[in-house]
Amino acid sequence: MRRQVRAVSPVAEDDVTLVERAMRGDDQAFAAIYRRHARYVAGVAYRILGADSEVDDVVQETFVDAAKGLRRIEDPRKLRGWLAAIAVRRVHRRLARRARLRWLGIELGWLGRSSSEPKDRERVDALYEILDRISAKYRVPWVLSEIEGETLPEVARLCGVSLATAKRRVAYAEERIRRLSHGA
Amino acid sequence: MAPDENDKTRKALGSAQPPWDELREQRVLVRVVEAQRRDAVRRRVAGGLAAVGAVVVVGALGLTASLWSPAEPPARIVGTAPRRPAASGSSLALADGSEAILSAGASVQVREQSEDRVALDQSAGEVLYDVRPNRARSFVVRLGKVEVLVVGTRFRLAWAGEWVRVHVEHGRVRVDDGARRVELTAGEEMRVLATSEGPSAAQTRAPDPSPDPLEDATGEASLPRVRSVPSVPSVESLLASADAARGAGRLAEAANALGRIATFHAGDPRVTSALFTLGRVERSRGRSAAAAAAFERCWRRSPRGPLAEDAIAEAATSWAFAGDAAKARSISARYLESFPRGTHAARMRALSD
Repeated sequence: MRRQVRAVSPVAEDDVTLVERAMRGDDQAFAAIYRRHARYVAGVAYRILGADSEVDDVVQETFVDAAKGLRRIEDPRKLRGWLAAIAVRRVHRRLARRARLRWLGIELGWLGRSSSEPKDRERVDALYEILDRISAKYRVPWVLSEIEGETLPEVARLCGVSLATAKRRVAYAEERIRRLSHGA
Repeated sequence: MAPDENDKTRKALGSAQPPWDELREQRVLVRVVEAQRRDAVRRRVAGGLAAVGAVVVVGALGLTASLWSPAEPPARIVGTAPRRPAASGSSLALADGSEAILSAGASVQVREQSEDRVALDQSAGEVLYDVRPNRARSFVVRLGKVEVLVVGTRFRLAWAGEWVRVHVEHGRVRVDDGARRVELTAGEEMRVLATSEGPSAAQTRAPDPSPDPLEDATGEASLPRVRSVPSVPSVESLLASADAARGAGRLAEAANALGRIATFHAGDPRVTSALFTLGRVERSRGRSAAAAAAFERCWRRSPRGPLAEDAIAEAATSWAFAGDAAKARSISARYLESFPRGTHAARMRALSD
């Protein structure tokens, strides 16, 4: 006999409960945390890197770091921001590596910025070409502030710097972008 | 860039998203879980090495008078894989960065591990070896009388009765049964008799009388009793085919590729996520019973794995859609036993009522 399936919304556990369960070694809870936040982490990483090719690695590294450091989380209600901070650190390292390789004369080539809308692709690519010429320590806070829409105190927290430093770096990046976009 | 152009760019970029779908999400999750497992194994191995080091120091202090002996040093066992690894597979991380991923029932022992040589004994089951390239050290796996020598590669070794099956995914290995040698490269697979006694007819098929394609142009003869078997596409190529077919909407082709991963690479840890994806593909094709079967296999294969909770819930739901209320009830009841506070508990309670 065919049984009618009733549509019942799943009861989602909040981040605090999931973090508590994951800290007790519950792998299912950790997987639930991953499923809830992986897409967000991937988006943040993608927008700062400006390319899709390293996003999987950043997401993987972020959650591996998170699993190791879960006990150190101060406020489980801010899990998403805590994960974003880990992702930002990981992206920062990758951008610094890219800069080192470029300094050594090694170009990584086309990094596949294929996910923006076709009508926007040209201008998005142009912006990333400019961002590629700016040091990661200025680029990351600028993207967080201007693209991700984070407040300056949040940018400071995500980058692990003081509010004054965050403001200074965003302003410096803004100025560099303005100059470079005018061919200066 | 003009100011309004700048605003448009920032707006476009703010809404840009990577192509992040469920398949990609699962794949990265599997990588996260594998990385965690590797870390755990490395910590255990490091702990074991520290303990061995401590024993060596104590022994050295106590035996200073008879330190040197002309006899061959005994084989060192510096790490041992679990005798009965979990159904989802267990892995053994070696100090040189190489890794052995064990399928259920597989057994591997580290006979020797030094800077210039790693030697393992595989006494049972199927193991996937991911060997870090290093021309300065030899990497050898022994199965009975068969030795497989590696430079840097990824290959699978499995016991099949008295025979050993060797499948190379990347790189090159040399198989040596004590009498002859043969080299295998990526995509090639062969079987070789691993015991001194000949196999009984009931245990093995007769060797293929046709010329062995593995016999190389240098005149190096293939091993006696070696029989080549048709090459099976690697997990990577099947996953790539499944992705491409799925992206192009060729769902039957995607299901076929995913099904082949489960059939031909049963010991690979990626089978679990392949089965989960197969379930989703079959559901998209409207084949609820096939979807339920795939989700159920995924769950049974790794009942404590990261995909288990979703897999069992999806299996119950798919059985309900397939019209098999009894199976839907039974599976949803199993879900509630295993995950009483799970994300899908309310939906499973509705199905089990």
